[in-house]
Amino acid sequence: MTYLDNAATTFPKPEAVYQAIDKCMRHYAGNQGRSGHRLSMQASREVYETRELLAKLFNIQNPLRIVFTENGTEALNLGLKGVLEPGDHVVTSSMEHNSVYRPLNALAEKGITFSIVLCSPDGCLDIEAFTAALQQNTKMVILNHASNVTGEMLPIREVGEICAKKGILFMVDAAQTAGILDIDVQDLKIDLLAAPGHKGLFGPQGTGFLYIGEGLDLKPLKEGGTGSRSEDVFQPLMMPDRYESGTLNAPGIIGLGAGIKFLQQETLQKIRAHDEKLRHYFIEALSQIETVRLYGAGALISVVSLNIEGLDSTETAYLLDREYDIFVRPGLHCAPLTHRTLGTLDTGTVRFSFSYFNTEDEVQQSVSAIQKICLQKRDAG
Amino acid sequence: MDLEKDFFYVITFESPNQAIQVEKQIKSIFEISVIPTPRELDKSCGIAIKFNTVDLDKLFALWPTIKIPGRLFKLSNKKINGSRETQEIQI
Repeated sequence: MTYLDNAATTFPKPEAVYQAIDKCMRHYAGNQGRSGHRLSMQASREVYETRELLAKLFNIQNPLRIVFTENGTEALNLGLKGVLEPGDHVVTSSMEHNSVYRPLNALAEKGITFSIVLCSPDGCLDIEAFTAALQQNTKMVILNHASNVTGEMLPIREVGEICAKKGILFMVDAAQTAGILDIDVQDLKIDLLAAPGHKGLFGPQGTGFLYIGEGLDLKPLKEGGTGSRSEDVFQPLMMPDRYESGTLNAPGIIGLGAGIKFLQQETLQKIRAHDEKLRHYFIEALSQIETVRLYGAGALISVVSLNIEGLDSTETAYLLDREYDIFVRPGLHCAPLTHRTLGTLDTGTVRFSFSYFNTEDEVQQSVSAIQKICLQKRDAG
Repeated sequence: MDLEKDFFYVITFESPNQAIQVEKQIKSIFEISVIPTPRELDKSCGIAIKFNTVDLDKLFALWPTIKIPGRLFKLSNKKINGSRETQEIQI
């Protein structure tokens, strides 16, 4: 079995993640932040430790500026819907995920407008075109750090500088890069950073977070019990309670903490070097096959999209699954405008995404499977 | 000293998240326990930090670096009519 769908969710996780979740569930899964007894306190302390680990990883000064969410999508929704008011304008790119476009389209019904900067056919964002899209009332810019279809990176450093100079809030969707690339929210001038916990950070599904920069006050997506100011029937204002109503996914968050510790031990540099080796081998080998079309302009992260001439992406993925035990994702990857940009809206693409736990052998097997499928297709005419 | 026995000091918070953060920051400096917030104090947050022993000058010097809106109280060990005497101390 070869799992190459790590851009959707990483699998497997480091052993320490399973152990941390199991230990919490069996021994101390009290309701964190609610009661003062030792079981609840242990859960609270461990959840806080995950905040600290995230803060350290992304150079966030105050761990309490990190809000836990159930995934990256919830973090993006909170960032967008919490900040934007009727009359505000947003700039984004044509390489985003539906977790950005769908909230923006919902907000458009409430009087918020947005512009989508078209990227080049290989997925690159032109800074001049981006700057031209900014308006007097642009409140926020939201960009992904790297595309979930091609792995292509957007120029977030340059955009962050421009936003900071113009006083525009800058939100980054780090779904594909958190735990892989270095992200320093201060250096990159990021006001809001959204990411899932279950991809590169190696946490379980059901985890994610939004970093909210100092001084920013967002409208909460939901209200409820927070374990604080219980005498008050209005939502508290303090961070992170304002945005964390209801019982948190403490076992998941604690597992996420174990995932981040694993990253720290191995180092992001080592993880990137491993990814790079696999990606390089994969792309080199596939470039030799005439009937394979690769998309993207040479990314840094291990997300590779391709199509085999004459086959739908779904057909290729089905063959890989049923005949070769290789699990990849076909279709549009929830990013329709990316496919319009790449010219693959009709066919979709087959996406291969590697993780630290994939081996060179697995990549070789995948190349060999693709070669065989190409030959079969050619022979079948 | 008698005073040590007659009174104890507690910091209260608006949120358990703040209490946990402060606990982590000061536990290596002061001898503290996390306790349910005494009922005479503001009930905003159910947990508070109790100082088993405290050098107040050291606490005053440290507090500005903590950057959490906590409130310091001095409480009597002895209860009069079921309640402790409380006094807020500005930090």
